[in-house]
Amino acid sequence: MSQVYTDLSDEQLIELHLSGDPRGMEAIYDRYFDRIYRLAYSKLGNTPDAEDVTSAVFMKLCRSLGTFRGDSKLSTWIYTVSNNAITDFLRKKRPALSLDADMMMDDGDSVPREIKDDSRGPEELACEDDFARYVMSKLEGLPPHQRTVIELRYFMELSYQEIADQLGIELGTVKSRLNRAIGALRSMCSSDSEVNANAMR
Amino acid sequence: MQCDDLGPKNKIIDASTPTGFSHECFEDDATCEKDLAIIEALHSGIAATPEFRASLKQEFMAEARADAARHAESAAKMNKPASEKPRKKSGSKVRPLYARYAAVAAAAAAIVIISIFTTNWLKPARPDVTQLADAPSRRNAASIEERQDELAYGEGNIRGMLAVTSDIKAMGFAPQAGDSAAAVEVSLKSALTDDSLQELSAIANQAGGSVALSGLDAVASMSIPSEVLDHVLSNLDASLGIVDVSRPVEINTAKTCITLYFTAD
Repeated sequence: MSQVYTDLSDEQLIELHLSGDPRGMEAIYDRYFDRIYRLAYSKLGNTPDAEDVTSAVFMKLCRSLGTFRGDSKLSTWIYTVSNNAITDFLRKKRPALSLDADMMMDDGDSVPREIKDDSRGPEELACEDDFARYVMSKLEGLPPHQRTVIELRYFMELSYQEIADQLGIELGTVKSRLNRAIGALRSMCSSDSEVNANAMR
Repeated sequence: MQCDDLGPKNKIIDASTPTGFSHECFEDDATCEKDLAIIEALHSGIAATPEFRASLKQEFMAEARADAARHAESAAKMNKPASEKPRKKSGSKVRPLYARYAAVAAAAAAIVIISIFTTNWLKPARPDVTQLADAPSRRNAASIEERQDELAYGEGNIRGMLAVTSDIKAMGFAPQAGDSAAAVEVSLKSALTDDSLQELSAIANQAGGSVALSGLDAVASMSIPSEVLDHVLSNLDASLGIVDVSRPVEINTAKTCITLYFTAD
């Protein structure tokens, strides 16, 4: 991809695509691939699911870009499309299962359902020396409004002003929420001494 | 890392991660280092495998090329710059829709207007005031019109029936459904005698009408052209004396039937 295309704005790249030049879409792919993947990984927690959702988002993007009206910025539109894709993925993947319901056996007896915990503990994550994955796993402990600003800032790479416009809040509120979110993550990480020792270098 | 020392309690460290994210830290250096490590982990700690990135790009670009070709083709068909296509396309969708609404509204208005005028055209013409003034001198003409009306009804003239009876029924002028003459009731001061009957006949003849006894005591009926009704009533008042008149507000039939109630002896 030449420097010319990477310097163009999102709107210019869309215009390019609509005029019949596929390099516009290629530049959009290069610009947003990591952002979408990070967002998907942070919410799904594993590589295969993140890849599935990323594929789904880009296929939808290709089909729907012609209908993008430009009412909002492309980055925020992609953020919304990605979140919808993640929600759909989780809905399809997780069966409607009541955790309280007993499992019926073939002979008619019922036994309490045993739920296997697939999530990895901090020790396991620390042993893998994968601090990024560990931090990602801690995002679930944040309040939704703090998690949203983290996603928009560090995954979707929006500016403070773009986040403020997207969420309809003041610029100062964006900054304070980000600081509080980072502080909360720091506290969560600091409480785990093993991770702290390995990763916080 | 840039450090602005604004005092012991207002220390702000404005630091940047290797990937360029700035961070305002209000704590000590060690804490700020931790924050930067977290930010760096969030932003660039997770990456997809190069294989997946390449394979998805190949698949995505295949779709994108096909889509771009479709856009280019449709733009060429429309013979306008392809980049303007979406805006103009949406505009062209809106305009015909409004045009269709306008056409439907115009058609509905036209139907309403036509129905109003059609109703007025079907109404019989109102009697001219000047015709009533010189009615006696025109009684022969009225008599001829009456006969023509009767002839027309007798021959089953549908248009004439529609013009008279449907309108009467609609406006409630006829005492009985199907009647083709308006009803007027007159109470007279005089008693029914040969002299009064003679006077009555003279008035009826002069107006081009006729008089008949109903068979009841002191009751007679007179049939006259509607256009001379007021003239006949004034003659009746002059010769026999009218106590009371009951008549429709508006008469729009060719003939009027007057029921005359004489004073009992």
